[in-house]
Amino acid sequence: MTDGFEKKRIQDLKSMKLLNSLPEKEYDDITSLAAFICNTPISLIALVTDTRQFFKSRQGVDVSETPIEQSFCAYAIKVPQKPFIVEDARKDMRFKDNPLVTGQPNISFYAGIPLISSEGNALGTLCVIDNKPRKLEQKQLEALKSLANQVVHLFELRKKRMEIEQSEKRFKGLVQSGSDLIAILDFEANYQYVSPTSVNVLGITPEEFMGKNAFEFIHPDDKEAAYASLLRLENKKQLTLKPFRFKHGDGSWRWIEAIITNLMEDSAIGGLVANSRDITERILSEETLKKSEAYYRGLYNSQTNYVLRTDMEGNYTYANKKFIEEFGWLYPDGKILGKNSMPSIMDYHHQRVEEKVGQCIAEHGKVFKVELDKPTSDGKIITTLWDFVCIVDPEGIPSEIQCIGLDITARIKAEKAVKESEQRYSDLFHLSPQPMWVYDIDTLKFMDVNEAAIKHYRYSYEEFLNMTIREIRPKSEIPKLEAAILQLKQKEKSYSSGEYLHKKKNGQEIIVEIRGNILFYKGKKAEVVLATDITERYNHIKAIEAQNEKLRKIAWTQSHVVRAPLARMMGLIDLLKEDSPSVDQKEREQLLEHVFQSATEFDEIVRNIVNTTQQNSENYTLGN
Amino acid sequence: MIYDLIYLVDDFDVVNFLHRILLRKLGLEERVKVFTNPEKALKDIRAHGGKDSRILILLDINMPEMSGFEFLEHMMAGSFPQFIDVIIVTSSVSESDMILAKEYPRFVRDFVTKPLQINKLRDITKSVDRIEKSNLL
Repeated sequence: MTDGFEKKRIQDLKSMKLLNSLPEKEYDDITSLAAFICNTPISLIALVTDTRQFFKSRQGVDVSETPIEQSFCAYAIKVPQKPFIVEDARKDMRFKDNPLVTGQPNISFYAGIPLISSEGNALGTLCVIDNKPRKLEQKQLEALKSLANQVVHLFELRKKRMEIEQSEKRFKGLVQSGSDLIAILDFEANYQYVSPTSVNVLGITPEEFMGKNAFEFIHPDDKEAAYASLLRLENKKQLTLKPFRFKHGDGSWRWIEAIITNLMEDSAIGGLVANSRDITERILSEETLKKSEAYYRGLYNSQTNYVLRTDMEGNYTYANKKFIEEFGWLYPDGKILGKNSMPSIMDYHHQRVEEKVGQCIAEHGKVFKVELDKPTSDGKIITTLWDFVCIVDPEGIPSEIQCIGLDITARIKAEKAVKESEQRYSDLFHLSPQPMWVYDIDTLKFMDVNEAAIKHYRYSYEEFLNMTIREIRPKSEIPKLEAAILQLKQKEKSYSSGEYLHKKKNGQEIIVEIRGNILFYKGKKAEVVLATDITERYNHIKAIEAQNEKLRKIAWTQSHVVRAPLARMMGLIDLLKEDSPSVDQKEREQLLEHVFQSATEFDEIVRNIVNTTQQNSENYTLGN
Repeated sequence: MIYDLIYLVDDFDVVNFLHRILLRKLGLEERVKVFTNPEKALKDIRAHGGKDSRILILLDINMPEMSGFEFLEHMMAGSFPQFIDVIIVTSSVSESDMILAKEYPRFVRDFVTKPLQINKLRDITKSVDRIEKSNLL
């Protein structure tokens, strides 16, 4: 006997679960009958292991087992096909020194019938023992053999019973504690049996199902598809029904997925076994997912999203065409499914993914957003925005992460550009050397002022923000301001300009030129204003105008005063030129005298003009 | 048509003296009346001539007692039955003075810049019609 066989024999023996079991009446009946038939004081059912022999039943012996070294049965099973008989152990070389021979129970005669299991293993013996030498009659030996057969029968029965118990246990476990519902239906779908789990799954007791047809519970819209599926069962052993709606005891509709097995031919069942489970939550979360997908697809106006699923280890279970096209290069053998998804994400975002997945698992069915950088095949990095959802199996255990993503690199770039541009405008505002502010058109309250405004108007930033633009004007200017604001509101103008009188904190009034533009600031209609103090410029203009007036006077003087003597001289010289008889000698001398006087007058006037001009320019430079 | 009286109104004697010689050349010296004070000239005009008399006034603008324009204002305000033509003779070359002169179309026939030329004076005194077609109108 090889080790392998011995191993199998021991396994077979152990599977009976007889070792160390309590005495049982069936076995004791047999041993007492064997002792009676063979007229021996001792009868045993001995089971032989590799170390000992255990007596499942014993007559005339006090111990329940002995070491294997003392065992007669260990010899008996070595030739399983034959009874093993020792007529006088005291004369047998194999046993004469055996303690059971030399001492209690002083074995002299032994006859054992090997017990052969259905597997062909000799598990032990049914034996009879006497303390004096003897022989068995043929009839007695035959009776002993049939009793041994009885023992083997009992063993087989025990094995079967244990198998049944095991299977029943499993079935009960499945039927009563799981979320699966098992029903047996006839070909017309009338209920023959419904497992007790129906109370948990569908809120209906098995008794309520009896005598009813499954189609009474199925949603009208789903009946046709379910019926068509059932018809296919005539030449098919098993099929899975498409999810259908089933009326729960509370009146609500539940999504059910059912596997139907045709066991009509099996006499024990004789029907269709329907194994059903409630998948409402999964269907709803899938629908939510679909909705969210559609929503974001619309929102970002993206033609194609990345869609993928991974198992809980992050290995791909699905990836759509777009994803494979763009990230397939990361997996040189071209097979994405089963590979880990992390290599498609930049290292610095790995932790972010792990955190997000953790959140997904904590709140399955809920969509979580995450922005991830991914490498592209041309060595660039793109930014992608993902919706992660954890999907659970019917037992509520997280099974997969569904991820829908899209490339938002362009959007991120645009956002960055907008931010930079905003920063530029903000700098323009705050660093402008001219006073600038933003005020709310409705309340006229200052919303922001720049450093130049604070310096020029002498109010602090906080003071400004607690003021309206009325307060930087003298009272006389308020009507003008209100008219301008009204115009700004009514005409929907986007800009304003004009000159206004403003008042600084110290009461000093200044003339400012205003340039304003309407904008939306912090959600309010506001105007950003650039105020240029033109007081000095205005004063300069006034000075220039005064100067002009003076110059006009000079021009007038030139015209009247300067030209008067000149014109006279011209008239006088005209007369002197012609040797006219109408002018006598005396008058001629008079004319010459007049010319001289006019010339003197002219000289004096020119000196005066020079003096006046000098004085004027001095006055001007003194800052008049 | 000949003016009965020709008034020379200029605060400078020399101007009036010049104009008198020019009018002498045109044979009109005996009709000349000379005034360096415009107020006195106005008084004299009021005292001379009735409806039929025709008067020419050579009027300066820049005069200390009364400017030529003030003189014209008085004429507009007062009632003068005579036929009166005024020629403004001024050393001013200013445009604004010429424009102001046009404010008195009832009297002002011309605006002449000094020195007054003999030919111009001949035209002025020859015919009232010609004066009306002068550059002023």
